[in-house]
Amino acid sequence: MHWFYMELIRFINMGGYARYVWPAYGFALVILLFSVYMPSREHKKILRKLRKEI
Amino acid sequence: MKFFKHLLSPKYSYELIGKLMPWLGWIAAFTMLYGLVDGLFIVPPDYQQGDGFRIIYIHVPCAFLSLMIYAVMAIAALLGLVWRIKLADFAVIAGAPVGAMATLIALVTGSLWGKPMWGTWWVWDARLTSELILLFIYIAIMGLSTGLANQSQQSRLRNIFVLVGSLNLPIIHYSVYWWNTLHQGSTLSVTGPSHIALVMLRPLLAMIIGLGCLFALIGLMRLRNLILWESRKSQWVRLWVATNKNNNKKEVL
Repeated sequence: MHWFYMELIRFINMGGYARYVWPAYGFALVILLFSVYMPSREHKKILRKLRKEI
Repeated sequence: MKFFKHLLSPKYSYELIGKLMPWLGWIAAFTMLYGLVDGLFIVPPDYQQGDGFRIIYIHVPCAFLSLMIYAVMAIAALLGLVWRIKLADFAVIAGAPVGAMATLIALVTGSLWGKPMWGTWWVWDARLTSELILLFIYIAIMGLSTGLANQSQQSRLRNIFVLVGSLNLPIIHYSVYWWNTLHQGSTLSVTGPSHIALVMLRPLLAMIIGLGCLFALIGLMRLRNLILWESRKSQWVRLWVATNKNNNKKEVL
């Protein structure tokens, strides 16, 4: 298992660019999750409203 | 003609979007999973930029798609203006926040890439400035989508604004050739060979397809909401809600 941890640490370090690469992907992930969540919440909200009316 | 009328009916387009959504979601998930694993683990580091170049797999797809989303919106705006198609007006409204998100990711990841490679987070060069203007245009379109008073007139105004704003697209694309920019030229080219090694290109194309499907999914979800809300008083929505009244737990999205 030793090689696995070595590889993992190398991957996380990103050749010294970790503090640029990971925030870039992290930011994109947050924005994308938010972008999917918002319209799905909106859809449920509309349906709930319509169910109440009927 | 009858076929198009059928396609444009709110009921049909609502149902069609619902059927498309899982497909787009799964294609996006698988291609992005492949793109990320290949791009972040397997592809060897760049000979100049080391592992820092791996930001390309999120930056370039989002930047490219920020232009594509606008192009789609411009076509929709034209359809809305010429044929007064309500669905096209809705597509413009639904697309603007999606394009804004793509542009925002492109700008932020570009900034995070610029710092180690150029030594600066931001520079007022033509490519970066025109992309920032694109973000402002998207935000302006979102602003033109909020008011509900006199809908058709507002839609006309919005569509005209979208078409005028599309003048920015060629400026963004050619900015790296017209001006002396710090930003590098295009990596990908449709007409000629791309300036990237094949092993690095594969995950990039996967990420473009994956994020493209994801942005399409988000846009269609927004479009579906607009259709549903607009036709809330119509017979098919009443019927649809009534028949789905008891299985609201099944509604995932």
